[in-house]
Amino acid sequence: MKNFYILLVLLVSTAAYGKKLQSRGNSFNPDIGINVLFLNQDSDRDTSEDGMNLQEAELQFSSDVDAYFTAKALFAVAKEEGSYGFEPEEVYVETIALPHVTLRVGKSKMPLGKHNQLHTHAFPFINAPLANETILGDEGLNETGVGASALIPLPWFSEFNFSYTQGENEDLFNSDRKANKALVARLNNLWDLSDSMTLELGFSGAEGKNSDHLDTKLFGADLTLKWRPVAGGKYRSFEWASEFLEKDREGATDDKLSGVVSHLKYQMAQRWYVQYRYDYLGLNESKTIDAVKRHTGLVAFLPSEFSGIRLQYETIDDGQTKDEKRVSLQFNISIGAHPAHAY
Amino acid sequence: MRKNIKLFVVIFFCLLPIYSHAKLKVLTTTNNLKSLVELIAGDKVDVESFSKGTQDPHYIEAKPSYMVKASRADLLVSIGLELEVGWLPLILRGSRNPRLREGEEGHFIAGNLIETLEKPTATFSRADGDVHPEGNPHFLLDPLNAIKIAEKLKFKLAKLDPENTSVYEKNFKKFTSDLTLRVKQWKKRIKVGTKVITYHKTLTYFYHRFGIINIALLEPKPGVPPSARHILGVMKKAKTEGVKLAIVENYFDPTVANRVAKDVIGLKVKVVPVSVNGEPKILNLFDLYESLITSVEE
Repeated sequence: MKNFYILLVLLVSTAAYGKKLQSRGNSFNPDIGINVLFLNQDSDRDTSEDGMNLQEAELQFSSDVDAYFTAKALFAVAKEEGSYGFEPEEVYVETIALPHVTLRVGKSKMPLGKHNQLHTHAFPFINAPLANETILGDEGLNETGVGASALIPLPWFSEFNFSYTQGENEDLFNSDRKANKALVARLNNLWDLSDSMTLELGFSGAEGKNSDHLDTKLFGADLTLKWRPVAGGKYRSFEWASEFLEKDREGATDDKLSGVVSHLKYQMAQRWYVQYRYDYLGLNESKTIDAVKRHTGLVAFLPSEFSGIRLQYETIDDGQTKDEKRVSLQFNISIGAHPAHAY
Repeated sequence: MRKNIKLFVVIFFCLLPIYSHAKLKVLTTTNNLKSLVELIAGDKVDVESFSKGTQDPHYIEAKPSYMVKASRADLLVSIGLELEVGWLPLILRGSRNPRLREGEEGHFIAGNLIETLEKPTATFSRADGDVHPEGNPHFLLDPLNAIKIAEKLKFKLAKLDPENTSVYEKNFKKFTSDLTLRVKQWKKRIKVGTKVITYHKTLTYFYHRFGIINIALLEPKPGVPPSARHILGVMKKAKTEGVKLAIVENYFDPTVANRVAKDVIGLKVKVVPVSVNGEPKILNLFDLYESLITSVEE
């Protein structure tokens, strides 16, 4: 028994010692964060994704590499055709010591519009806009390549972003000639209308060869108005964001498709939000897809910055006699280091 | 035409350094730091603060327009102690101004110079709310801490702008003697042992300096909104301790404090600014300390 106590004391003390050493050594470990999204869905038509699901888990690692570079790696665990897949969502290195410009190498979400740059846990609604899902695919426009971005010396915020990528998006690019690359560019502007209000206007474009060795062109435009009062901004805020997306894909499935999405988000208390979204896909008359209109309503309760519960209701009109209705309830949490979200 | 463009580009880049050698451009994360810079540097620098006086500095949005300001700044003065962890890194990244990175000459972190209060000694997790592992970041509300930081700030300004060293030195001396004198006067106005309740742990350093005792916080944990059960506990404590004053920092909602005051006889609620420009008439740190003293004195 005595030996047991001695052993216990020894164990506890080494544990404490180990912890101290570890915490000092930790400053060289990457920051680790995990976001988990649980989803329960119920549709009156397409029931294939109904029921309770682990929607996605995102594992995020980030750290400065040395005095010149910083690196970020984000892996997503999500269900694909019945089983869980583990995929690199973003893995890239950026410069930190260069003035005026940031260079990036790696795989990342392309700055084509505003929504395409968001991770699933940061989506304003539980699912992506119809235009993003249909035109860019489930994973969005996510490419491997090199990129550069810089602030244009103007009195307001004006950022130019250019990427030179391999172009691997299955539908849009994916040319079998590896010498064919895809280019993505974005110009983003933001004005402070007052201390409480900003207006953001962005234009994006992309170009590359598709699997038919013909051109695919993408165009995006987005407009965002945000209001958060300087006094009392903890309890009230408002956002109106709209985005337009268009693809023009030459080739066998010759297809021009465009869509628009617009949402309102109102914060009514410190932890409560109400939101509404309208989607319209097929502004032009597409040969392959019927026009789809969708209304989405959402109520969010965020106990803290690190957890959220959201209830969403959608009605989808895709030309059939009866609209599809879908209810989704999502619970999301974030543990570990969580880098701040972009404005 | 081609030649003209080339010439234009060359001229543009030649002009850039001239443009950047004008007055020292200083950015601060809070208005209290801005006031401190103004008191030491006078009109020798241009200074601007990211957060406004009525905003909670924990939750500032990383507006892209701030990146533009940071891209043109020579010096960034921040609080540190993880106060700005949710937004400042994004601004610095977007600014593409490596001079302002942590550890570089253009970034002055005031929190590193302070012996902080309320540094957690036991292990903690996010279940304890927004705990600052390096201690409470609201240290500028103790006037003597402002002097400590001003001294180091004076050296930093002199290093970046040696021409005006004597001005910074002179202003610092005046600031120190004025503030020391005022602190003596303020101490006479506050009865040591005055009991208060507060919304958030913002005034810890102020209370510590003037011998004010904080009996309870309206927040059950830092950053966690008050629950009904917690409020009942606060009411009970306020009654047994005979607290006469509840202080609510003006970026928080005073509803809960008013609710407590309804139940606790003789308890007065005061909504106070805790930052310069938190109210229009508070123009500098002296005004801020004066207004806090006035709120607490009987």
